[in-house]
Amino acid sequence: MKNTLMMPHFRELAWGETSKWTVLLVDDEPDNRVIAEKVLMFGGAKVYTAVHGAEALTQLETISPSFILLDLSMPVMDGWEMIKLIRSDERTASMPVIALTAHAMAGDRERVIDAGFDGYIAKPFRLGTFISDIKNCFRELVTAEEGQAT
Amino acid sequence: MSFGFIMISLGISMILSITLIVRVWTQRQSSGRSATLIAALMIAVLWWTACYAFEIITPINELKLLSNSLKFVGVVFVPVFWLLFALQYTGRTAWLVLNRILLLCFIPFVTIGLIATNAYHQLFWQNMGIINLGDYSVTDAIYGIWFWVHSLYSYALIMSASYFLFRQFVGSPTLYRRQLVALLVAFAAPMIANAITIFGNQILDITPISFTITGLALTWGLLRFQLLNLVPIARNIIVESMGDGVLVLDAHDRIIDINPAAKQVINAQTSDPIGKSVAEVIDLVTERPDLTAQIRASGGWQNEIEIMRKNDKYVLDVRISPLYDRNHQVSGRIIIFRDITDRKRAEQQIRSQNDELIAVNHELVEARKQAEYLTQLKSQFLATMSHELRTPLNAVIGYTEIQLAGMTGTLTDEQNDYQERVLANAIHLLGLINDVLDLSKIEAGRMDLIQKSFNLKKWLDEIVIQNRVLAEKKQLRFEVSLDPQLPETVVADPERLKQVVINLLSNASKFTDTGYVKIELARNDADTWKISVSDSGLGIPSHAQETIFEEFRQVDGSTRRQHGGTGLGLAIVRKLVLMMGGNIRLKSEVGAGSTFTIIMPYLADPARSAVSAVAIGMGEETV
Repeated sequence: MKNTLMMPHFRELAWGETSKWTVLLVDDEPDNRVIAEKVLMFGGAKVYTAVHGAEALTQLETISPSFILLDLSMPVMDGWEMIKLIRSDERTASMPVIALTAHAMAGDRERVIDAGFDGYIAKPFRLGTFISDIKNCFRELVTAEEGQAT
Repeated sequence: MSFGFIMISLGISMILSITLIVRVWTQRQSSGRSATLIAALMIAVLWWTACYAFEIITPINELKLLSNSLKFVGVVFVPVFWLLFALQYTGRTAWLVLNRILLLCFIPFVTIGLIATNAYHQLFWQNMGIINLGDYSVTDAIYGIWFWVHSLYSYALIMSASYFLFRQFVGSPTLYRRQLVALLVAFAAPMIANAITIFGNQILDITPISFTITGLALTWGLLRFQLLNLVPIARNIIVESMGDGVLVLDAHDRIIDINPAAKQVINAQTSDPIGKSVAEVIDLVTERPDLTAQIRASGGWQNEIEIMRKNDKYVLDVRISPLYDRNHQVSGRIIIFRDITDRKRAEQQIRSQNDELIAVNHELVEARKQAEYLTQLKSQFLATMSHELRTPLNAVIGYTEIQLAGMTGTLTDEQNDYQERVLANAIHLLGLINDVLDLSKIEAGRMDLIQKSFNLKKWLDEIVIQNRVLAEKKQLRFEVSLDPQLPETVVADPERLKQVVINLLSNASKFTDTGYVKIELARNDADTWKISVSDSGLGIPSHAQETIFEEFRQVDGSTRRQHGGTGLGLAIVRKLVLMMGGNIRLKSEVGAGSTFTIIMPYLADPARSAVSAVAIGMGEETV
């Protein structure tokens, strides 16, 4: 489980303003990038995009996003490998990462959480609920941490 | 020799003969041909003795001469029967065939004929007279040429018989040796007496007198050593009727004994193998030159060999053991053949059946591996399919929703309507993909259930959060009930169970326009608990209640158009419930709503020990 020091940050993401978000969106599918970027930007978020894990890691050298939306199946470096590298690097180990994936079969959510992701959103996502889905991921984390803290 | 001594000797000889005849005749059933031949021999002896006694006793010269002639009817056959007996006794039964016996009798018959007609040719006796020997008188003669032929022939037969018996004597067990001593004495006595009579110019023929010794020796042998019982019976039973082939060879590899079973391996052309070299008789020996070498080797040898007989393959177990004489010299060999073809065949059959089983087993293992591989492949395929179908749908739904949200500018009413339809169809397609893949996964056996303990209240709250909105959107009452009698935690797969309940709840909301949607968790009985999802909706007609859990069975075709849904939801629900060890029931009436009830078993927590499982049970009682 995450360090409880993360809680204010999660709380902010869960209930705070979307316009304060800086999101790193990693997806190899241009359509998915366009749609997600559009929705996030519509909510006022600042969006960086990368087409695979390796590019995202390079970007992380210069930017510090509020959280990462990470696709799983990608060329060069996929999401599974990237989450491993993120979690093993102390600079990014506590970075919130949500999987945004078309792997949506029974058991996939569990696999994703086990791999070290903080949340899971299945594709296709719905425009109307996309932002709230992201927020829900953080709400769940806060609830889980509160539950653990008590 | 006094008259009295002669008479007593002849008397004893005759009594012994009669005793022996009676004895062996009563034994002939068990003793076989030996007994018959001994009986025949003793009858001939008895005849000879009786005629001789009569010749001495009778005062009338003509009768003396007549009985002297009649005596020869016995005399000529004694050597023949001796020889036949010796052949039989030493196991040379192959020689005892009618035409050979008749051949042996040729000279005796000629002798009898010549004696009967001697007056005309004097070939047997040149001259015949009566000589007084004091108390008594006997016939005396100057012998003709045929007498010597007869004598020579008789001696030849007796010598042959003695030879066979002596051969048998060497290397026989002690009991048989004593029998053979008795037999040899019985042979020797009259031979010696006869020789003395003929060549010692003895007027009185002492041969019949010496038969007393013969009779005594045979009686001794018969009573003391079961002369006739043991040898023939033992040989018959053990050797003749043996299933194993027995072949006895002398030191020069000539066959000296063979039993019927051994004849099966003999060349078909060889009718009489006795005395012939083993190599020329037994073609398996010529087929297998190594065998010949083995036969010659002094040590014992045992092996399994294959031979061909009339295009059939036989397997023989061959044992060769050397026979030693008293001086530990190899005097011959005994070869025992056992036909183990059937055993070999059975072994072969067992082996091939075993091989077959191994092969079948291997095939099964391979088939299982293949099936597992195919399942794996199918499962991978399903995962890939799911991913690949969802990815473009994300674009379709996303772009459509972006347009519908007005992010790309205002749409005309028609554009808006069409985009709504694109979206509805895309969402329906998404539902179909989800359900088809779920169903496929269940049917492929790749739906892995986890068993874990979870808090019922928390689990129910999560469901309520997700579904209350849906009901309230249609202005339905959303009722929740949790039986306080239920344990705090239960063991199941919470995610799959949640999937099931959410499916039922969304159906309930979908098909209800007014009233309520209700979820109720309650005790069922000691072993089960239940989840009921009920509504005050349309209800399901009774004819559809049975098929509603089948794939693509909605109440009617218009349902989908009106309410959406893939027609797979309930099929998945039922399969998942069954997989979790539970059961699902439906109670519904048209217009009065429906109630789906899932009965779930209480399961032991696999993560905990049996002791804590009992504790949970107790807690359930006290709550």
